[in-house]
Amino acid sequence: MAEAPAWLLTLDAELRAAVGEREMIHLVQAPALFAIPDTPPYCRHVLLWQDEIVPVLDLAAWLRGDRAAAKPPLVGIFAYQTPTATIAYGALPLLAAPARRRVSDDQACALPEQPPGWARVALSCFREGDRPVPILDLPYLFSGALPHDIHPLAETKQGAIRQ
Amino acid sequence: MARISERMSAENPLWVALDFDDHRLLLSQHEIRSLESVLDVRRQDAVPPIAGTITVAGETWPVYCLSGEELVVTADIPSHHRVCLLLDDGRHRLAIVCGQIEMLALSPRRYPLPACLAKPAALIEALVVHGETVACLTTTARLAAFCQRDTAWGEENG
Repeated sequence: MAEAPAWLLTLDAELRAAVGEREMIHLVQAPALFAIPDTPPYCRHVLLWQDEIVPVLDLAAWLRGDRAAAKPPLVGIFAYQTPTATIAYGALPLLAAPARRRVSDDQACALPEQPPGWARVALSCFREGDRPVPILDLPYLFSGALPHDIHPLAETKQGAIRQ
Repeated sequence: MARISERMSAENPLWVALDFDDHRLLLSQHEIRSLESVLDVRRQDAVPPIAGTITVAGETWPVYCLSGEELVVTADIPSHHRVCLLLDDGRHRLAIVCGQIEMLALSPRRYPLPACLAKPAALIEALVVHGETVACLTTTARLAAFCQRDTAWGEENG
C-alpha cells in the first residue's frame, strides 16, 4: 500500500486540510501583515518573506463566506509550481502548528459535503480518525481562479465542480 | 498653489504617498497637477459619490474622498482629511482628499499584485517594498475607475 508524508493543517476550530510534505516550507508566528485595498474579502493581506511579497489567503474565510482575519496567530508559507513551471509562494493562516502524518491509499475518502467550496480547492481527501481531510490544490488556490463575489455556500454541488 | 512637478527633479523620480485612514496609496508625482486645501472644496456641489468640486485656474474638478478600512468612496469628508490633490494623467482628471501626503524615493523593483488578490480594474497596480513595509502603487486612471465604480454599478442595477 503506497504511503506519502503530509502536513495536517488546522485552518480554524473545525476545518482541517492537508498538503504534501514538501509543499509547506516555513511557519511565521504573529506575522506582520500588510492590508491591500480593493482585494477579495478572503485575501486582503500580504507579508514580506525573504524579499518576496507573499499573498495571505484565508481559506477558512473563503469556505465560510467570511472576511479574512486581520491578525492570524500563525501562517504557513507554501511553495507550489505555476503553469509556467516557476516556483511561487503563498501563505495560509493557521490556528495551530501543522502535524506531520503518513497517509496511505486506503485512507482515501469522499470530500466533506460542507462547506461545499471544498470541491473547488481540493485534489482528493483522506480520512484521519473519523474526520475527512481534503488535500489542497495549492496552484489552483493561489491562481486567482477562486470566485470573488460568489458565496461558496450558495453554490450548487454541480456548480462547485471546476470547469 | 505651487505645482509639485515643478519642484522636483526629473532625474530623481519620486512617488507621492497619500495617507487615508487605514491605507497608504502611492502615485507617480507626474500625475499630480497641484496640491490644494480641503477648505477650497465646494461641498454644496456634492452629488454622491462626488464629495464636492474644486475650481483651480478656472477649471472645475470633481472631488472624491476615500475613507475607512475598506477605503470606500464617501461623500462625507472626515475632518482629518485636509489635503486635496488634483490628479491629471492626460485622460482622467479628478481630485482626491486625504489626510496627508509624503514624497518618497522608492526601490525601482515593482511586484505585480499576486493573482489571488487581483480583481478586474483593481485599484492597486503593483506593490513595492519600502523599508520594512509593503506599499501600494496606483494610478490616476485606476483611482478614477475605482471612485466611479459604485456609480456605474448603481446605474446598471438600480
